[in-house]
Amino acid sequence: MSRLVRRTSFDVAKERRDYYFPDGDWAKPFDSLWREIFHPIAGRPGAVFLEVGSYYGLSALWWLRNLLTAPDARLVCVDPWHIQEQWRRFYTTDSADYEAIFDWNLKKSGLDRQVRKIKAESRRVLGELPDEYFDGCFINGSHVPCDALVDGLLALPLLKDGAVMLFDDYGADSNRFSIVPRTGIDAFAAICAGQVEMIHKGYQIAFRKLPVADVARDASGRPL
Amino acid sequence: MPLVDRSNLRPGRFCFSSDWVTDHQTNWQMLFGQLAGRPDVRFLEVGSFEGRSTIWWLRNIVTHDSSFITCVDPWHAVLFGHRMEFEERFNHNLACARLSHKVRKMKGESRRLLGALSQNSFDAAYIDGSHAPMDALLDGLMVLPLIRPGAVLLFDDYDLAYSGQPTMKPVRRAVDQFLALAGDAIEVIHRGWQLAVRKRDRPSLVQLAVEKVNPHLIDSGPLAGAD
Repeated sequence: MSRLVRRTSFDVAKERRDYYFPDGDWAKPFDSLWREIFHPIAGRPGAVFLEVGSYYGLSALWWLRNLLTAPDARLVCVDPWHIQEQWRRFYTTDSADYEAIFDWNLKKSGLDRQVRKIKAESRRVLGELPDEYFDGCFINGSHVPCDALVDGLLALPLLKDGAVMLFDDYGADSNRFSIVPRTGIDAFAAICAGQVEMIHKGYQIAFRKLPVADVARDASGRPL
Repeated sequence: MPLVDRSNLRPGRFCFSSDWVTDHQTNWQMLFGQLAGRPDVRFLEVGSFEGRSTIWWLRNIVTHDSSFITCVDPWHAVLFGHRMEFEERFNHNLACARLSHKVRKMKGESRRLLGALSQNSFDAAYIDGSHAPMDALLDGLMVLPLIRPGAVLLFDDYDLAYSGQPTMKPVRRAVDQFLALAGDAIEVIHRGWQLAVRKRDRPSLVQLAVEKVNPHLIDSGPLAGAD
């Protein structure tokens, strides 16, 4: 499937003079996966993509370069761009630089006009976005299990039928990292079993939103 | 404006289609009684329907002049397959009880509105909104940060089974997930037809932290292809 997609990969190594990513090119291992699961929306006119957790903009640039190539395609980035004290040790920048680096990278790409930044906690603002609006979604916000689950549950109604929701770090090793989202995402899969189908499970995990007609219902017509 | 049938709404007379309150009074006194008469109590109700439970809270728990209740409900015109003037009934019943001034109405779906409320600001919460498992779970997860440490959160219909399917308990499915995920941030203090939890005074940092952690930062090696 991936060979159908135009090869315009975003390559940090080649363009590193233009961009600045303090945490490196972490998206590289996911290149072929992302091409495959999102290939139906690559280049689609009017495509709208939702990203929860944008950090320094690396994944945002990937969506813009590889999926949102139509001039009227749009990306919505939700991130507080704020580092709380208890997580400071995981960052090499402070809050102000964190947001400035995102802005810098997006401006450098010349694609910043296609991006709408929403600077806030996702649980506060996702509910204000329109239902059945987005063609795809990437969830990489707070890795606290409850928060990852809330992001998934709030984002699901915002997706169009057939749209794909991708979670990052599903397979992160809990022996290695203090906080991993796995149990929250497992709960999402369990509670939404009738509304979504899992289409990939690895270090990242992806679900496709089923069309309403395919949603499993009980005898009285309520979604299971 | 849609036509509203007001023929049932006679001045001075309550108008309810059901009574889902009376059976729970003893439990509710036990769970929330210590708030009665206290000033500045803030109570959160998700799913208010015709206002029967709202009025009970206001008469028995949220009684001080400075206390009030926040009611979140879309007041859909059609519920359980019936078209009825639910919002008008809510307004009418609260007016009958002369308690309208103690209510802050938030009309809309809870998933769209709860995020706007302040964290750690409610003294108690009652969740009786949509019973679809994903909605009930989301309500619980959204409400937990909104209540103060020590506050009680009560889910209605925990043990409800859809007719003909005794093993299909939609709210239970959601609440059991909620309990597993919330872990030591809460303790279960009542389990029956309804289920109540108390938010612990000192929940673990891990469970209630709202900010993100980026494992890539710990994990990142040198830039691919960099020399």
